[in-house]
Amino acid sequence: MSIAANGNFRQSMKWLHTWAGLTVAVVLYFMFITGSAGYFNDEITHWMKPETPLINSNIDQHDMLIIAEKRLAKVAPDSSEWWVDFPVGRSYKLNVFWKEMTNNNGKMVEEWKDETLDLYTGEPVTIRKTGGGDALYYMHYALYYIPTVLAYWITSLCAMFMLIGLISGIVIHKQIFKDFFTFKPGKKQHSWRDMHNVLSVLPLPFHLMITYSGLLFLMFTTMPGVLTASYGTGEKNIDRFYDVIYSQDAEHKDAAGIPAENIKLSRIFSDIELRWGKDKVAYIGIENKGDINAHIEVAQYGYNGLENKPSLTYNAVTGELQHANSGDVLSAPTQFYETMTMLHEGSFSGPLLRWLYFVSGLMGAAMIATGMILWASKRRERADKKGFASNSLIMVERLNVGTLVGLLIAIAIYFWANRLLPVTFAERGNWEIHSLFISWAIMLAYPYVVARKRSINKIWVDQLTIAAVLYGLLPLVNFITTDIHLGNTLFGGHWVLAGFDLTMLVFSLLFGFSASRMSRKESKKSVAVRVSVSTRRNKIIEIEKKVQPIDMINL
Amino acid sequence: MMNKQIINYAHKESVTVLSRLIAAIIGGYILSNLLSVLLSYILPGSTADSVMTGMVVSFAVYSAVVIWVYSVKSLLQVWQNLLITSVVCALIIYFLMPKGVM
Repeated sequence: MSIAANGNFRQSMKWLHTWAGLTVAVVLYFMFITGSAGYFNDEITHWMKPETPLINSNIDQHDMLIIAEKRLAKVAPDSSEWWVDFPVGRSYKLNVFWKEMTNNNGKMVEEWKDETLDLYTGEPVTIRKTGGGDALYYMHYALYYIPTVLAYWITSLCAMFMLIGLISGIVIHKQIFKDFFTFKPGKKQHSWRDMHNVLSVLPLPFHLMITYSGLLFLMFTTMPGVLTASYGTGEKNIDRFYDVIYSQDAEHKDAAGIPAENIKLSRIFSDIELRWGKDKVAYIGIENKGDINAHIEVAQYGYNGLENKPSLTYNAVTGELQHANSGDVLSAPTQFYETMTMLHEGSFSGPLLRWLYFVSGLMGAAMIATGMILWASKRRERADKKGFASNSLIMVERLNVGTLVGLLIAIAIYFWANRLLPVTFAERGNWEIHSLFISWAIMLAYPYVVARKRSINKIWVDQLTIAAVLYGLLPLVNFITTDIHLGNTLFGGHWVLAGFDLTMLVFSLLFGFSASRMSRKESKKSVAVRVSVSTRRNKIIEIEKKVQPIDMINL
Repeated sequence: MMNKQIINYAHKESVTVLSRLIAAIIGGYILSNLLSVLLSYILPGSTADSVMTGMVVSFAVYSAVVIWVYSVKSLLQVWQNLLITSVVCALIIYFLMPKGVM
């Protein structure tokens, strides 16, 4: 098929749509799945750090701060920076951070240390090393095993293909609104196409927003031309741009080198609560601690629309308020950039909207998945008519299963690894992720190695069953290996943790349902063949009585 | 004889596909960068804002160029137009470029 040589605009867009979509479908699917999981990064991390103390009673933030400050004074008395993160909103633990100067071959380097504190004892708890949900979120745009900048180029290129796929998809699609309501189930190729259409059209605004904002996220890496043409190259020159775009906070004085007594963080807390009300603080910290220019920073949890809520800066020597930041005033283009990237991340969203983001992301993944399946099923129908399937078709069909279901299996393995790898194993964080990619590779190879003789339908059933079992057993594994199982979380009202287990069960049911449907289809097909054979045979017998024997090969 | 013709045809076909792909991805990238730079030069307002505008619209420009590359019948015309537009843009940019950048 020639591209634009014959046919009209829509025809060439059709060609573009198919090939722009298919060539990068695997990476895009990976990006959509891990990105969707990324909307619940904190929640997943919480589940993957089961040692985190559960916060049952309502200890107020003032008491927490006293605990945190006591610990910091003990473990990092000479540090120049302290921070305290409160369990508020999506955050689920009391964390302390501090900066430490360590001697690295005669050179002093700063290093950040952190601890999660038990609210009752005030002591730090040992938590297993894990990539958590953040690792999934991170590989969504930075991939894994390859240099970050290269990964940015790859993911951006794929996003660009996605954008082209969306635009050309809109062009070839005349009846875009009619298809909101179209679904013809049980018609093989047609139902795949309808599903692909519905999954593309219904969340189209989301798809466009998420793709374009994703490109914007990495534009300083991938589109530096415009910046260079006005500011030149080099960090110093580029900083001139950032200084204008994001007006620098003049309130932050550098350390003067003059030691001074600082007030306790907890001393100004009543003033904060007076301004914001109780239990509103996301974090509090002190910079240049022990210096005359020390200051205390406080940020409120929550969002003003899309943006972070305001923050306060106090003088850490006198305790008086220096600066109340009510959010930056940005120019229109910068505001556009900021708004788009904030929409992409959706940090402002509450539970309901977050679920909507998650589901929209999965619909994006499903759109890519159905596109891949549609491509294969179209050619399969043609091949069945001809009675001959090309090698490339067989390869794509098998690649589809390993990609689409295999990745989901791999993510389940990631969660399994979190529970089963020994807690004392130093490299466990990395090996969780290795096990994700190893299991995906196995699932990709599976259709070629183990199941070469099996029909493609059976391979789908195999992998869907594996996925159903792995997701279904996760709550059980969790029950055996930790205390944060459904028995405790459901009745303790820990909805985030219970929600994780329940979601895994829902996934398991979905995969199990799909597997059973597909295997029923498989057996129905053979039953149908048998029925038609027997009815035909009866006919044949009838006919045979009258005429000559008939060739039965074509049955 | 027949086979050779088919192979020749397929060969030619894949060359045009590849050529168009390169025109879209690389040619499109260069042209959209140039167009966005040009836009950032001619926009009124502060330099920083114009640069930001140029950057955020560059992906829309890129997609438009790709769509255009795939909608024009003649491949020769695609390359010709890409080249001419890019050279013209580059020339204008060269003359408009603020001092000390390069």
